[in-house]
Amino acid sequence: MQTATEPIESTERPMMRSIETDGPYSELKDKLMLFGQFAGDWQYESQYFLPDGSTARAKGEIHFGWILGGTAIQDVMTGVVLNPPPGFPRTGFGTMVRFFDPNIDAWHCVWVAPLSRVVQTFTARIVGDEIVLEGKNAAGFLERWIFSEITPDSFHWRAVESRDQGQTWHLDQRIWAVRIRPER
Amino acid sequence: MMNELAGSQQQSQVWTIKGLGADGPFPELKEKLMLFGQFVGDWEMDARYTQPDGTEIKAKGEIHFGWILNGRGVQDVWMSKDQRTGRAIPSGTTIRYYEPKIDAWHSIWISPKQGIVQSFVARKEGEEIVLRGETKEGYPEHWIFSEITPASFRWRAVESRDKERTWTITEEMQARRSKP
Repeated sequence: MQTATEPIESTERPMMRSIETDGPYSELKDKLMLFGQFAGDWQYESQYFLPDGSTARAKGEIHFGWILGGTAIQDVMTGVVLNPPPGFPRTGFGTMVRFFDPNIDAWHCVWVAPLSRVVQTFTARIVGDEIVLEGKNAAGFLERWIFSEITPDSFHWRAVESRDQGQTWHLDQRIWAVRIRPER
Repeated sequence: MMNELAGSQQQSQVWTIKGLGADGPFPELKEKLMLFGQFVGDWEMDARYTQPDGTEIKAKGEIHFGWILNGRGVQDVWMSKDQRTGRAIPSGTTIRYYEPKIDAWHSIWISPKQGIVQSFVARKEGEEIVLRGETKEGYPEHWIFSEITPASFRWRAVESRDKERTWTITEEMQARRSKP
């Protein structure tokens, strides 16, 4: 099943580079490009909608890359909150690893954010022209992270939560991201 | 807080994903972070797996550990060597970070090859580091680092199917630091 031309790492590459790869594992390339299309560097602006009705704004960067011989995509997200309400963190960062599982024709996603002490797993699929990550948050409520309006150089992202088993959804956060192009 | 952000701009040369790598532990938690920080670097290993039918498989591989996320976490990747070609094939990665509130580490093993995501809570117990979690089937599973020296360690996976009365070793390996 595996061919000699797969982008599997050689043993000569030094250090952690050995987990990183230039492109998708060829056998699953079409599937892997669902998140592979984001590989590269992005800057974003974000808005939080807090339970008390107030909002906060943030900006930062997201960087996506292939890992594990092109079988998974990892991103790292860093940001600073511009007008944090009392008790709201001023900075945030975290990382997500995603891999495609042929058995369920969907993606497993794990978000890890040390400062907010969150480890959250999601299952991701295409729904219409959006990518929907669905999981449960620490409080046990349904949560969806949704990529939409995806173009090669931009996407919109939103996090919604339901406290009534999916009947109604509350918008928690949205992000507008644009690709960072290398300066000429 | 600005230190946090400044830290995130620093990039370790060993990662290509921008902003992921870090040069060392987050200073305020350094002592705690060195529990896994001590493994940062490159390792070779000899592994033995016991199959359900009792037969044993021997394998060779590599493990690479590096600082991530402003030095608040340590990520590793495990690779097994293809016996025929000698090439190292990635089998999975662990993301782990120290959480002061519980004075322990969250450790998440992610393996596209096995199709699993497995969560553990890790602490130092005596001379060993014990990661406590559950198998896919819901049985208690421990992953244990032991006999740790600067240049070597032993690792084993054990699981219990009788409510933690007896434990069976399902996998073990001996690791040594790769020579530069």
